[in-house]
Amino acid sequence: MKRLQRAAIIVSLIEALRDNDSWCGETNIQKATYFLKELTHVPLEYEFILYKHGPYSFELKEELTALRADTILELKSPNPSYGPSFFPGKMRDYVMDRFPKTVKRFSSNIDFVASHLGKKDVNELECLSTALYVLRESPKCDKKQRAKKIIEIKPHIDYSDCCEAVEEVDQIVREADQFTR
Amino acid sequence: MLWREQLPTKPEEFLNITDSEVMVLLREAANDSSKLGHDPARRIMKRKHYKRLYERNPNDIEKNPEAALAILEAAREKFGEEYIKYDSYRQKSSGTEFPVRSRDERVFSSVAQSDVLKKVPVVAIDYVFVAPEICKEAINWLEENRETIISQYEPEEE
Repeated sequence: MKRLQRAAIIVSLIEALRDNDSWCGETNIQKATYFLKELTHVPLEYEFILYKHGPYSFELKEELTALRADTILELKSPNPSYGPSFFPGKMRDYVMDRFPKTVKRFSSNIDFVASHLGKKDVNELECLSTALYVLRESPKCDKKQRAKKIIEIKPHIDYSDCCEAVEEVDQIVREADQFTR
Repeated sequence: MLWREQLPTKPEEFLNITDSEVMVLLREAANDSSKLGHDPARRIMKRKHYKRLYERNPNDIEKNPEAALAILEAAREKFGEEYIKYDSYRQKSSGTEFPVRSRDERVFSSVAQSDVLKKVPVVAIDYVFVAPEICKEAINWLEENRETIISQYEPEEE
């Protein structure tokens, strides 16, 4: 996939997250992109590793910065008490106009992820995305085992939150069956 | 010398390679077209460096964020790949976003607190270089075709 083609997907994702009341900080975009790739099989080439707050892609971080350089995205600080948010930039239309098929092809994937993650705060996103990571790494483990694995990786998360995240991820995975490879 | 084919990985052997050895090999490669690296060696030794044909320009970026790529592709098509080189860099992360604790113990985002940090631009560099033997011709060609190339560049949708 071409760089600007990926940019069209990222811009669409940010707009969909915004429509679902997301703050759209970097963490929100990181976790949503992880779900988009891992769960709905959008062919984004970003490699995700387990990092401080769950799955994280350094390549995506670099891409977000580069897209700011090209004014496809911009950072704003709507509330000084929180970190900055990503918004579509001046060149948003340029990208969206050139890749309409890509945007259309993945719009249901993007809407699916945004509707499930848009309203979640960063703590919930950390827990949920780590639950998906654990499920992908240990697909044969039952729910309790997966919750324990999350605690091993992220000891600061409550066990009850882990159990809820495991339940919710299982539900999202079932719903995501519609997105075949 | 073994390292004519591959640089040594043992530190003591590597440190034995000095500028003198490198210069000798550069001269040999520059003078013998059958040697590996002949062309870059010749360009370094005979000062035939690639010249700047195009560099990223904010006005062009307003029209097309991939203006440099458009010019690169058009120049390669016109003059051949071996005569045109490309260098690009995008800042990989921004050091301007961090939490700031104010005197009254409240915590704010740095970009919300500072107008200067808010306006620090992200570094982006694009260069298209051309071989010196066709430099004048390429500059004239670009002068005549720049606007068309940039405005008509349409990346193919896969």
